[in-house]
This record gives sequence, structure tokens and C-alpha cells, in this order.
Amino acid sequence: MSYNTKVSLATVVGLAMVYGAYFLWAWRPGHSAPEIFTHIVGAAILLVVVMIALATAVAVREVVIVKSGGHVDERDQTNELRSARNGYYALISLIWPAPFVVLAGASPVLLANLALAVLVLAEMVHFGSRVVYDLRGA
Amino acid sequence: MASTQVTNRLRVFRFNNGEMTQQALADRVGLTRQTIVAIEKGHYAPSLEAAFRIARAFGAGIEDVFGYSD
Repeated sequence: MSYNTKVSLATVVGLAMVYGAYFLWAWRPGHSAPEIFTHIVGAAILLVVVMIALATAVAVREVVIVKSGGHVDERDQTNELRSARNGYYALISLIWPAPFVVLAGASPVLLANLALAVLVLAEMVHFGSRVVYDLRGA
Repeated sequence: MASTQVTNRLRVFRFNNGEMTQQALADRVGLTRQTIVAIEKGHYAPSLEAAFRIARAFGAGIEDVFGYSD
């Protein structure tokens, strides 16, 4: 497994851990808007900390030596473009109901959580498909 | 596993070049070892530029190293 694949896998794990915990908390009713806001900011900060820890763990285990001689690995580049496109497709296909949610009179808290969930899912699709492409050799 | 119609003789050429390792070949042509593995297994078709670099690393022509199966 290459360094890039490990970092992508770490990102998927980090996102699942932090936002999984956040949405488990947010799913329960009775939270006020300031509480939600605090937890969203807290989750973002926690994600940064978790990602630094995971990326450091990967980097320590992997000696990264740049030997490309000026060439960028084309398969890495292609896999990144393809997985970013998958993330974009996930984003645009999941975000379109947002206006209808607003029109249906949903609370700003629900809307904020839905938007956050869509962003997290899109990023998980992005990095998850990067891992799949890297591992299957595409 | 995805596969490609581009065939290759990378294993043979590596063997004939003093059992060149996949890492050594990757370093010479500016790719990662994982990409060389994917090419060798037929899971990834390299770009024309990478194919030329690989062939030249063996001192061979591109069609000696790579082929195409209909």
C-alpha cells in the first residue's frame, strides 16, 4: 500500500470517527442551536487534531523519499482526479434536495447538519474511492 | 480487479536486466513501485510517455516491452 493510499485511508477513518461521533450526538433531539454550533466547530477542530495524529503515524511508519526525478506518478494523479470527481458527483447529487428542505420549513439547525453530512459523505466518497482505485490497480 | 488490453513483458525484461527490482525500475522511470506492480499485472495501462520511459530503461523498443491484445 503506497503512502498516498495510507493517507487516504487515514482520512476516511478520521472522517468516520469524528463525524460519526458528531452525528450520533446530533441525531438525538433536544439540542439548541448554540450547542450544535459549538459541536460543529469542535468536530472540525477535533478532525484537524485526529488527521495530524493519523498522518504523523503513517509518515513515521513510511519513509517518504522523493525519487521521481521531476515526474509525477501518473497513476497517482489519475486516481486522485477520478476520486475527486466521484466526490464531486456525490456532493452535487446529495446537495440538490437542500432548497426543498428549506422550502419545507426545516430549522436552520437541521439544514446545517444536512449540509455538513453531505460534505462529509462527499469527502468519504472522494478518499474512499481513492483507496479503492489505488488498491485495485486502476 | 480491472484489467487492460495492453500486455507487457516487464517481468521478462526485469529478469534479463539482472533481476532488476520493481523499485529500481520505478526509480529509473519516475513512477511508484505500486504503479509498476499494477502495470506488470496488467491492471493499469501506462501512458505513452511512461511506456517509452520504461522501454528505454531496458534499452528496448516500446513494442518489445508492450503489446496490445484485441
